[in-house]
Amino acid sequence: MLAVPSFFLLEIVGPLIELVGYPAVIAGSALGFLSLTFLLAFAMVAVLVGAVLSVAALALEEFNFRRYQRGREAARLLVMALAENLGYRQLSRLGGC
Amino acid sequence: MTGDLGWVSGALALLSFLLVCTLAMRRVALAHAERRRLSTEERLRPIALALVEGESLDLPSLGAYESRALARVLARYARQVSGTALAHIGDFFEAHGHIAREVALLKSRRAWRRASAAHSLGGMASRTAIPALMEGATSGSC
Repeated sequence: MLAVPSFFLLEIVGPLIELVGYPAVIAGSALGFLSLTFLLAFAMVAVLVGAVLSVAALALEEFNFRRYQRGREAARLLVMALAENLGYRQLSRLGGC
Repeated sequence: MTGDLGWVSGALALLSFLLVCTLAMRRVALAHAERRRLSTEERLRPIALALVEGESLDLPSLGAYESRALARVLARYARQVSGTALAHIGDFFEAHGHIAREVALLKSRRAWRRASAAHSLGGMASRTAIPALMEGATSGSC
């Protein structure tokens, strides 16, 4: 009842909206419809929300399954979880559509 | 509106930082626990070897943590030895009530606890645990 609609919204519609959003933001900014300050602040929030979600997912994994035994593996995973929001996620959205 | 986004950014950054700190502290705690486990097991190894060899020795009084560590070492050895050495290990676990405790856990409501108990019993090499394990296996609870 909840899984299919949320999966549809987050995994199918979500990437499409996100993909349309990037050129729309660039175009809006170039045409002067958007405030640059607001754009930067909003982009910061978007990246930080992604970072919080990634780190929270990592914390869940760490506290429940602890698949990564070595501290170095966990540290690398943490860096990846933070870095994926700066380009990789956007590229993977492109690949997923 | 931009000011609000600044506050939200700050809150999210703080939340991320706190989560990262929690993960780091947990890793430090786990590393400390691992070092303690290794040093305890190293200290108890001669006792475990003596038990496997069947030597009669007066067990020093062990705390709950050391007792569990000794059981872990013996369970590891039980997977590598056979014959009388294996029987000695089974005898030790039976004599110290480990078998009875793990058999009781086979009836736990939590699946992971039942599975963990079944795994432990496998390592304890006690024949008395076989009926309980078979019952758990046939009922599909383990």
